[in-house]
This record gives sequence, structure tokens and C-alpha cells, in this order.
Amino acid sequence: MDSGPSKNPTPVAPPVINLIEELNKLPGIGPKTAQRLTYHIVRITTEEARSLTDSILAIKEQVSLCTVCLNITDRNPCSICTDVTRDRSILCAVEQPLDVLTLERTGIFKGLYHVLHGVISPMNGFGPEDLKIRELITRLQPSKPPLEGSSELEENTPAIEEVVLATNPNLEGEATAMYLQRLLTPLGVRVTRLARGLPTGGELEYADEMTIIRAFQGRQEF
Amino acid sequence: MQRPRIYKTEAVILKQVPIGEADRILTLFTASSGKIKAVAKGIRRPKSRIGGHLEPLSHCRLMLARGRSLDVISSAETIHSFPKVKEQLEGIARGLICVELVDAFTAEEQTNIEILHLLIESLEWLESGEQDLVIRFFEFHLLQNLGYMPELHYCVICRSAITPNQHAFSSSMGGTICFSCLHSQKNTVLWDSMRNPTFPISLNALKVLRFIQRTPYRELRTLHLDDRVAGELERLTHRYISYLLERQIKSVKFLEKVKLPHIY
Repeated sequence: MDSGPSKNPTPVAPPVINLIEELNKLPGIGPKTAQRLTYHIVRITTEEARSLTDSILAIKEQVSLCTVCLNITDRNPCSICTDVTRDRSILCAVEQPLDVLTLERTGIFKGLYHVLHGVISPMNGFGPEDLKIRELITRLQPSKPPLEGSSELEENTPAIEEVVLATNPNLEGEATAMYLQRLLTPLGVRVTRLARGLPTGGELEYADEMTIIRAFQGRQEF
Repeated sequence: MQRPRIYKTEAVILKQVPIGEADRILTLFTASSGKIKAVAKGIRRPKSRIGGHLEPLSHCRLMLARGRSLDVISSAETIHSFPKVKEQLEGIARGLICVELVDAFTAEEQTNIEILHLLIESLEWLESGEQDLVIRFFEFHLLQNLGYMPELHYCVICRSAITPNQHAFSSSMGGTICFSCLHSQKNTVLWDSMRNPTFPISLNALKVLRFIQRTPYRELRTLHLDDRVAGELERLTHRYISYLLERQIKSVKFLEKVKLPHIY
């Protein structure tokens, strides 16, 4: 029955409002999407809802940064750092945890990783001090602290001989790579950079000056 | 007048911020409408046809489509990518100082072709191997263009001509001050360094500043500065600019760090 203007300022149940507000905080989710998702969650079964909340809680309770490579992991040290079959003399430095996933999908790299968690970008207020550079240097120094809980692994661990700089091939990524190269070379480690050139499926016509210069410099016997 | 839906212009890329799945919002300094923000779609994918042409510090030819809030870049071609500037950390840092200052000092959609030319000229000098003096040249000519050029010949308070070694520099007053005004009781506020940064400036530094002010870089580059004067000029300029902007210039801090890399 319609009984005139309601005194209640929120005709919607408070739990519904709460969920809308929580979802609205997520990146890329606006008020309308938050409302749609909330009404979808109202309709799903209790088990489905529990599975969702459990997954979210599990992320917070079980996932952390690996103390060695700083990748996101549910074990510490992570499965890559503790894998005895991997080459422990070569390290690949990447910008973000997602980059590890991308490189691992190819299966080409069998060494260890180091996640920098960012890139030097002074125009966006991000300097070298904001990256995990100190942690990288610590890993390369001979007197590095042993891996927690993996002393048997540590016994035969060779020193890191090569660092592959796998930051993105753009201005910020290049600046980060050059900065790291300056810091790492005096430590006596071999510093390499991923090759830059023409992408598969691309066209020469649309390639930029820098890409063509790099492609020529890096040409190989065919 | 109805503006065309698609237009072409030249621009230098000032900065970029990633947005969405594979896009970036670029800040451009264009010939047609000064500083603008525009969306570059799909630019973060390796096969993007425009990606390599739209790196910060590049000078390019663009075609843009008017969007509701931001224009969208539909095609891009490099005119000059300044590869030698980008090959070295110091070069990148110096180039970034130039673009950061243009970004900080200009408002959007204010056409100013002189600033674009100054920026391109300075990047070209950096490309040819010139170093910090280019930055001083750029900074002072940018200030001049924007109306912030400090007074360097007369006392900004009493208008008397500055006599050698009897002067200081005040950021808040915008130029040189003679000693009698500086030490006069009613001007004690000048020594309140928090609000009115006033500092001494050597005669040599003052002369170099006057020279930079009126000289094209082609002639200026033959000037040999000793490290002491160069350092003094750098500090003075950046204190003055920080005072005007009310903030530090981040790329300057980066250049200092690059010249003396240490571990973080």
C-alpha cells in the first residue's frame, strides 16, 4: 500500500546499500555496475556467495609477497624461488607480478625473477627510491642472507651471474633498465636486456624510428 | 564556428598515464591548441601501430578525432624521436625537465607556438650532445615567454641600477635587489626565507644570466662555465622556479640522482 512520502530515507535494505558501496570502491566499477553486481549476488545461492567471500578472504590471508623475489605468492618463498630445477645463476628483473605470469606462460626462461613493483617515471612522481632496487642489490651481493626455511637449497646455490632486464621497452622502462645497469655492472654481474625489434604480425610500414634502429642493430644470421 | 571533427597537428609528447585495458592518456603540447590531453587507444599492445610513435619526448605528426571529453589519436608518425637523448639516463632526465616545466607552466588549450619551438629546439640541442646549459637556456626562455623573466639589471624595489657585488636575488620580488634596499629596515621580510626566498648571487652568475636572457643558443653554447658558476645558476633557477610553481620539480631531483646513482 502506498502511504505517501516515506519517512525512511533509504527504501533499500542497508545490507544491499553496504554491498553496493563496497563494490563501488573497486577499480573500474562504477555505481551502476555495483548495483547490477549486488542484485546478481542477491540472486545467487548461499554456496556460491560463500565461495566468493572465501576466495576474497583467502587472498588476504594466504597471499603475500615472496621475501626473495617479491612476487605475489601463497608460499614463502614462492614456488619459483624454491624450485630446485630452475637455474639459480640467472635473474630476470620485471616491473610487475603480472609480467612474471606472462614470461612463465612462454616457458622460455628457467631462471629466477625479481619484481621491481614499478618503474622510474619522474613525470608521474615515481623515482628510483620507490622501486624494490635495494632488495635486488641485496640478492646479488655475495653475503646475501639465506632463504628462510630452505637451508638445504642454499648450500649449493651458485651466485647470480646474470641479470636480465625485462622492463617494458618504453621511455620509463628504458630509464629503469639504464639506471639498474649502472648500479649492477660495478657488482661484477652480467647485465643483459631483452631484445627490441619488430613484433610478430606487425608491419614495417608502421614501425617507429627507434624500433627500426633497434631491429637493425639486433639483426641476426638467418 | 564548427570545429572539424578530425584535425591534424604536430606535437611533443609531455607525459603519459596508463588507463583501462591497453590505453594511455597522453599530455601533448600541440602546434594547433597548445597543451591538450588525448587518448591513445590500444597503445600498450606490442602491435599497436601508433605506440612507438608516441613516447614522451618525441616530436610527432598526429591526426586526432574530437571526443566528448578527450580527443582520440587516430594516427601518429614520428618527426623526430631524439634517439640519442633517450639513449642516456642524463639525456632522459634533462629532456624530462623540459617537458615537466612545459606541463607545469602552461594551461590547457592555450596556443603558444613559441613554446613548442623552444621545446623542440632544446631537445635538438640535447640530441646534438649539449648538456646542462641547454636546460638553463630552455628555462630562462620559457620564463621569458610566460612573463616570469626575472629583472637582472635594476633593483626591483628602488629601480636603481645594480652595482657589482652589491646585490642579492629575491624569488618573490622577481629579480635582483640592491644592498641598500635589502638592508633597509622596512624590507626585513626579504630575509624570511620561508615566504620570500632571497639569496646572494655572484657577479659572474648574474652576468651569465643576462647573457642567457638575450642570446640564441647557437652563440650561448660557446660559453664555458666553471662548475661553481654552473652549480650556482642551477640552484638559483630551480629555487626561483620552485617558488613560482610552489612545488619541487621532480625531474630535477631525478637528474641529481642519476648523476650520482646510489642504492635504495
